[in-house]
Amino acid sequence: MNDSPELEALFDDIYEQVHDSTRAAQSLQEAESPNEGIPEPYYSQLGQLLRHLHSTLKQLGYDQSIEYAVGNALPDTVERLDYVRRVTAEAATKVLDATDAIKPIYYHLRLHIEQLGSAWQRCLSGELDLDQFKKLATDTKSFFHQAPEMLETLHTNITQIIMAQDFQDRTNQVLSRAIEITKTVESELIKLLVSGIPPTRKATIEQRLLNGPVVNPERDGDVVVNQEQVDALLESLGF
Amino acid sequence: MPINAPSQTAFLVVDDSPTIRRIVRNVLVDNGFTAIVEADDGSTALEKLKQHKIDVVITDWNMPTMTGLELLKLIRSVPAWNSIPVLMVTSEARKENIITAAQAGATGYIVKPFTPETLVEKLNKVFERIATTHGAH
Repeated sequence: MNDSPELEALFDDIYEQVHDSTRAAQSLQEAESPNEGIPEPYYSQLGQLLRHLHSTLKQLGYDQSIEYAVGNALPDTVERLDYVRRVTAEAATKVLDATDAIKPIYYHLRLHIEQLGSAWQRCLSGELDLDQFKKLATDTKSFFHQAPEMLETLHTNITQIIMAQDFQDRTNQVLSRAIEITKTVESELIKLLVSGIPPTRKATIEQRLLNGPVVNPERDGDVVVNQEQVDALLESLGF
Repeated sequence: MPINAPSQTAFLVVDDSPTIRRIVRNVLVDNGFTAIVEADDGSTALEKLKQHKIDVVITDWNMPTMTGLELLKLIRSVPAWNSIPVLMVTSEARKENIITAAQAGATGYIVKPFTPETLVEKLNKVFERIATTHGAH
């Protein structure tokens, strides 16, 4: 199995830092309370854990999965989410552009329908003289002349609003893949964490965590969602 | 541009996205068609094909249970459905996808996102092709 030099270097860096901190923490502890002895050194435990984790990973080949996760899956997910951000913004703009185009037509039509309606009402009640009637006839004719073009603009923009909704199909596909990738990375990280737990703790944690995918939540009873598993694990590690 | 087909032409719209089915339905209704049946994947599409007399199938590619390509191949393998035109409307935009669909007997291919004009244009192409094929018989 090939060990990645970058991962090795990254690990060594962290290991060094942790051990430096451990020594610093220990000497600080000793200086502050020389009589209380050394409590279970948290940092040293973490360092051991990391070392164990790293060697287990190498044995199991998880380093490659994590390498994949960090190197490919996460940037890929970021790219997908960026795509979602872009197409939803485009869709919103298209829809608002269309409603911007529709609104003046709506107000124009409403005004003219109100005006013509009340004028015809007065006409039918015998309130108009000949000149007023002639004007009403001309206004009505011109309204009917303008209306088809306005209706066409309405239709075009309604179609644009409908077509803009196609983002839902595309973002749905892209988000499904992003969710898949995130789940894979999460489960790899859980495996990674579990493989590094000291054996005494491992038994209980493994039992709680390594159930594999929940095929039948009702049958499995007390199943937990992944995030809770992660939280439980992290808590048991003292985070 | 209108669609050059009788208004009673029956369409089967297959897509797992309800949004896309509604969009396609809207374009068809705008063009005067009312005989529109919908299915959310290839297997439900087969059921609809059995239940209704369908003149044109408009299908997505990537769907659960049965993909549009599998549906297309099945349609081409059944003598009663063999001559139904199948228009693929899909986000699969790679050349090999398009070639595969064409070789499997697709009558037309539209890449999403599409405009209503594109859908109308490709449908007209489909109807021209049927007319030519039927003329040859």
